[in-house]
Amino acid sequence: MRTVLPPTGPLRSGRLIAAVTVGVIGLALALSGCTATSGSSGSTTLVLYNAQHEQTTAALVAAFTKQTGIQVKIDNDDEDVLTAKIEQEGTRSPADVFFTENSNWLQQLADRGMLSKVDSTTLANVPAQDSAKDDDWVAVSARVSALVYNTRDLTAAEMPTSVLQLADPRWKGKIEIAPAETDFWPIVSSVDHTYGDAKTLAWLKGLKANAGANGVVPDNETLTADVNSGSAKIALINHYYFDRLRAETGASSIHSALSYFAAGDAGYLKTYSGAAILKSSTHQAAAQKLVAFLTSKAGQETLAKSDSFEYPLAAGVAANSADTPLRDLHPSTTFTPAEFGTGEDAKRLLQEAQLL
Amino acid sequence: MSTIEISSASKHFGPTPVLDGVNLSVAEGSMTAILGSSGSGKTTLLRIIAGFEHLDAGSLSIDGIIMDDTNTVVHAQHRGIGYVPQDGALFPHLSAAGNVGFGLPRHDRSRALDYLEMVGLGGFADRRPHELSGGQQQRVALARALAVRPRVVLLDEPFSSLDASLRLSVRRDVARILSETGTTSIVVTHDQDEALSMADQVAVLSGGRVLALSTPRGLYTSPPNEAAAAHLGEINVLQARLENDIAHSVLGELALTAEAASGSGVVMVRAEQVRLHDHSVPASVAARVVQFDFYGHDALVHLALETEPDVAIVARVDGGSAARAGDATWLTVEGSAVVLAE
Amino acid sequence: MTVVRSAVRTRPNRALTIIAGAIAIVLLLPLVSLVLDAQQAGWAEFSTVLFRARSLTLLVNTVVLVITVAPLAAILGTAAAWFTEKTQLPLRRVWTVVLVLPIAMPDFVVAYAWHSIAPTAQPLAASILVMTMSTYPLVYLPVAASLRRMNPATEESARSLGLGSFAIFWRVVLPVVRTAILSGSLLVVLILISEYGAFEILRFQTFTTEVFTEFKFNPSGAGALSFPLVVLGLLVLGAETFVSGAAATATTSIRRASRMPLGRKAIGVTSGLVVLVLVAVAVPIGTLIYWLSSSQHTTLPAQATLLQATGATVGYCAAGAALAVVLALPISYLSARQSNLFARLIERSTYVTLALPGVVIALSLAFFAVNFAYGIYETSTLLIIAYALLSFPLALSCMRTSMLQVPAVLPDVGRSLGRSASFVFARVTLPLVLPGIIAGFCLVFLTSTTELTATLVLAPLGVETLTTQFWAFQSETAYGAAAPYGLVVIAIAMIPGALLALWFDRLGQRS
Repeated sequence: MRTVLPPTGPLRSGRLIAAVTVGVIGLALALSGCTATSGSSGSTTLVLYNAQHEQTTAALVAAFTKQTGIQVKIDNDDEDVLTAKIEQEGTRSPADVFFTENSNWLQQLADRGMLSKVDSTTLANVPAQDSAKDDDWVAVSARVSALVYNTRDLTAAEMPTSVLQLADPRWKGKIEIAPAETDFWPIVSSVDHTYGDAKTLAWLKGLKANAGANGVVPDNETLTADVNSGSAKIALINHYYFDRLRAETGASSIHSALSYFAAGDAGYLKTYSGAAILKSSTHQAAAQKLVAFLTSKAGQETLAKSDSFEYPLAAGVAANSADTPLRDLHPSTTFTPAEFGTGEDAKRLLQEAQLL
Repeated sequence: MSTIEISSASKHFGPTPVLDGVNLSVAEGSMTAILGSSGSGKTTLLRIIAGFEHLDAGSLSIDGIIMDDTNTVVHAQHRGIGYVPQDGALFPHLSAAGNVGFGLPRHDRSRALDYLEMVGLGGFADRRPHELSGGQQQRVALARALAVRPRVVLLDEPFSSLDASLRLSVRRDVARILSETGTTSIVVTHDQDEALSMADQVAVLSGGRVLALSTPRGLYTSPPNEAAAAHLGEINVLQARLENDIAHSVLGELALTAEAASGSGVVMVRAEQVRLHDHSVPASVAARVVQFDFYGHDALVHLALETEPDVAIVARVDGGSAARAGDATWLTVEGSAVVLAE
Repeated sequence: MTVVRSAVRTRPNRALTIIAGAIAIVLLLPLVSLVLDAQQAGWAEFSTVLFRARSLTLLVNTVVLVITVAPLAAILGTAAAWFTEKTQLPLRRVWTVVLVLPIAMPDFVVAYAWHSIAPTAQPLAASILVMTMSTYPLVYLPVAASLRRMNPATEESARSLGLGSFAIFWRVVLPVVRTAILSGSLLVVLILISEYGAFEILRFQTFTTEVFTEFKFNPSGAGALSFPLVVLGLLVLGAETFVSGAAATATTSIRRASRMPLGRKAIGVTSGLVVLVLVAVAVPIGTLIYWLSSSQHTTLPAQATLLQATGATVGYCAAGAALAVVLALPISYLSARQSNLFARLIERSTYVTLALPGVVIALSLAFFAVNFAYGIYETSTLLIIAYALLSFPLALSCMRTSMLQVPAVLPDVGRSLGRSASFVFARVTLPLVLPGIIAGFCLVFLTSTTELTATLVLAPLGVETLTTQFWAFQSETAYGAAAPYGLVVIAIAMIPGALLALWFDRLGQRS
């Protein structure tokens, strides 16, 4: 055994680097720890995980803060990523409220027992069948599925009357689809409930063949923009994407129009955006207030007046004047959020058709 | 008193022994040359003395203080040893003065200029290393090592990267400065001229062992073994029958430097001891010139004996010699032969 | 002499090894998280998603892309380096900077620009074009530096042996720059494996885009699907280690080689480079300027003004780059000074993160932060750590190159002059590796400024960076409003991009 005096040479510079590294990281962590604790003092601040379109949520939250004085911080991301984030965060999630575009994500968290029950007064603001049957989440707004077509190449008379016709070879190379967009899943689910697995699968395969390699796109915004520019001729979207494009680009640059299927068709759906309160939230009361506001008359009016173009659900609140009045539309009455659930059927079929 | 004392020093890198029981003493104010080919362990020995490497066994002391043994290791920075590496290894981001002043306390930086002056580079203080010639870089490196007034200066192949004409003058300057400052020094080299001309003592290192340790003259005239002898110029190694102070060999009867035990043995005759004659002279041996290597001031002649064509003899002759390949010639040996240990 | 030098480098150093090992473990946390995810998801779920015909299609897509783009980027990068370093290219100094700029372009911007110009382009072809353009600088930079360090005597000897220019390139130059080409290509391959934004826009489906889709099925198990990416990354790393092990090394020289006159070919070569820069830089910037001139109207309120978003981006990216550099310091030192297996393993293992999609790393960091360091969750610290982790290998490769260029004898000399190890480190080693540190900082900084998916997950609440704000506008088709944010991203990324080019330009000039 040798009792080496403080080692020399490269040993020492190595140890020095080691020490400097540890020191710098330690200091950084200490500093960030300070900033982390100093940030969250004072009155209640809610954290809203938002997957809804940012402009809609921003307008709603501004109105809520004005009314209640409760501050809200918004974390924007896609609903699937936010769901993954909430599941990773578990009981320590900073999120108080989760606002999604589609209800299945909320239902998935509800099935895992991660949501608080929504106050009954809040649930009473909107039609009962629109929200979760176990009171886990409340519906906030609705939209209706529609075809968008390029008006330079197609006319309203040429539009299919049933969603099944979109698999017809007539649309080969003309249609684009966005199977990874959650908005498409209720339609798959509804077709499955109406026609069964075999027929739905055949229909999906037809759609896939019609879309081809270049016609599978990531989202509804792309579908709408592509149809308007003419690089696609027809696509299946929710009505408000068309309204938004028109609001963004101005009516003069619009070369497309909406068309609806025949009344009650399996592809003619009213689907819901919803909100829920996380069970892990330490601000349950304030969170209930925010969700209540979203469905209140004030909240619903804000929604209707915003550039969201989704349909408010509260009784007596008129929709945006740019939208076709809901009473003139005739979506399927048999397909409900309960039937959609977590969208498992749709996912399974899309996987089988190799669209996902 | 001995400044540096190394005994039974051993060092391995993995399973490979690099130094194997090295013993060496260096007297104060003297210069020792460690002569060896690449892979002999000479640079490792130097790095151990400097404190960059540590011994596996044995000990190293300087001025009687243990620097490295199986119990203690003293830091390189506390040993007071100046180190002049190959190519100088100047810090590329510092000026000449910055390099020389590196080891000096802040208030004493002006001393850097004195040392630059001493190595004859007074006007080059602000030059960056890449603006200096190879010889200038080497002299700055020496000034840098001397500036901290070390007990010992180690020089690792300090002149190998200089061209021949520069090498001589820089070598002379360095030797002068070291002797003027009375600095104890060790120079590692593979160049026999460098070792013989500069050093007070020469250690021949091969395979991690010291083959010979002596004064340059002693080593040259009476090397203890063939390997050590071969490091110091061209030699002829001959089988011989020894009888008192005479060796009977293919080159005839040769006088020995010292009396040897009778019987068969091996003797060495340096190339420069072999004389060529254009006709038979008394006690000469007939030979034929196989090859003639001309160097200007002298020439190396490779010869085959007429009687023993398998024995190759090499002779160093004056550059003016008229001998050419194929010529017949007669050889004699001047001076004495050395008996080598087998 | 070489025997002794390499022996000097193998001395183990426990404290440093422990710290470097600890950093490597932190860098590999995302992998740990993947294993946990896979366990949670269960084998059944894992295998149904993984073992189906579509997975094979996606894997084939990824592999096809890699084996096309990596060689193209290697050829393009090497050719560009050859022309700027070995020929009398007109405006050579300008090219050394301009040719690096594509690295500063956010891939989703480049993809969007090209998609809007050629919406019906075949997805694979479009992806090959866009990715080749955005990755070739990763080959160009090290190859140019390596060419400049090359001893001109070897080429001159080859010429005297009667070899023509092409033969010299093939038989003399290529073996020497092979290491540089390989290490650049390695980064290219890893980036291709984990790229998402560009492929989504170009409608090209790879295993990584599938991981994003999988989030919609089983969010908590999606990370497990990244396993094939990890395996792919490990295969590539292994192959690179195997191939580069036998590569020739360049001898350095103080003397500069004379440049080959291009003569009439100069026009052809210059036009080629102009096209390259047009495709990779001018078209995307032009597209953004075109957007700018179109309608600025949007229904979307900006969450952050241009100034706020710029401040956030610069602050986070600078801090992330600084952290990456600090973390890379011990690992680069270790791997440059020690050539044992463990040091090599530590260094190599840190490259695996580059093969993982940003969102997977972000979510695993979220998991670890929530469970073990809640104080930093939803703070800027976590985002900064994420940036450091995501681009760590880029910092490491710059700093390792720089460390290897500091002769081990210099610190030795410093200590023999009576100076302490810390003094020597601060006054000798650090100044000499500083350019490498700055280059590493620049590279991490500019890749972070264009990062999107991890930023969306980890940005502190209420904070928008330039990319998230760009994305928010762009995904709502508000192009006019998005354009300024995209342009500022490019402007900010170009400053370190140009600095980087200048550093590499100097790298070879020092002997």
